[in-house]
Amino acid sequence: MSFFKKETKNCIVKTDADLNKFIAAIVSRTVSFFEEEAQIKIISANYEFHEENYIDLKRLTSIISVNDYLKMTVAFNYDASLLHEIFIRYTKNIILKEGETQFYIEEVAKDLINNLIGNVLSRFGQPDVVFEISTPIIVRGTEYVANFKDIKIYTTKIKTELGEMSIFCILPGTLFLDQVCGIKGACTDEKP
Amino acid sequence: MKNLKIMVVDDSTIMILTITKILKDLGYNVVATARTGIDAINKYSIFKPDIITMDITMPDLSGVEAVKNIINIDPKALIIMVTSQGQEQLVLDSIYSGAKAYILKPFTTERLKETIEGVYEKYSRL
Repeated sequence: MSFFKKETKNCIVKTDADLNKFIAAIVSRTVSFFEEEAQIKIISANYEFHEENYIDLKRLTSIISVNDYLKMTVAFNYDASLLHEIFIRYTKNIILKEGETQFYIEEVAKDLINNLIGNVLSRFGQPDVVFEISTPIIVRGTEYVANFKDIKIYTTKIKTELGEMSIFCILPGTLFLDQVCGIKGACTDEKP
Repeated sequence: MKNLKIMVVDDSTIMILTITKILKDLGYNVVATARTGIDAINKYSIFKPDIITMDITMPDLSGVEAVKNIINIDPKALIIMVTSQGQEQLVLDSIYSGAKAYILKPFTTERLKETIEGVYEKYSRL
């Protein structure tokens, strides 16, 4: 099944090949963040496509929407141990208020997806293409989301020396967000 | 160039803390921070910063819209866009709206310093 049946002008991803390049670029930028900026060693990065109607989630997920023709949703889902280590390295030069670690961990998760996806989109930018990315949202404590219909999920699992993360590229993204945020208390932009 | 008054606008608490730390280490005076475009507009009139660093994507009012509003209040306001997106149209919209420069995240301390000092030297005497 392809999503590219209609004429798709003025968007970043116009074909299945573009989509594959886009996902590959997200994975590449994420791997470079781990290796070059966070100094975290990558053990493996495995890409797969699946049409199962559920996804398993680890402790915390950050989600961003690319308001292109396809309205893609990209989600970064982390092991708690890995995200905590990213948080330590990401904030090593700044002073944080005591007792608000969880809030700052979620802020780091939002900041990271915003920056990495923003960087990737800038590589795909074309003069005649206008697109927006949403402000990130956080899903915490949800174990899985199920019963999707008409949604494609592209998954990359990145295994590092400090834990695992998954990158989900989900199409169409709006349908997914409607379903995830229908779970009471799952999606939040509030301080816990 | 020390003691420039700077306001940092970003919806990310982490980015505000990071940019503020860098600016203070460089000897600048961070007079205000804002997490929304509306907050930035309100604080601009109160603190009258020499330079504003402005995120583009924010929840209530985009950075581009905030630039338009601040330039409407003070056409000489010096605003530097800070973004992870090098998207040409967004950058052009910002510049057409009155921003003086942009800087891409992630950036180095030196790059931020050069951009701030370049904008201030070029525009502050106009």
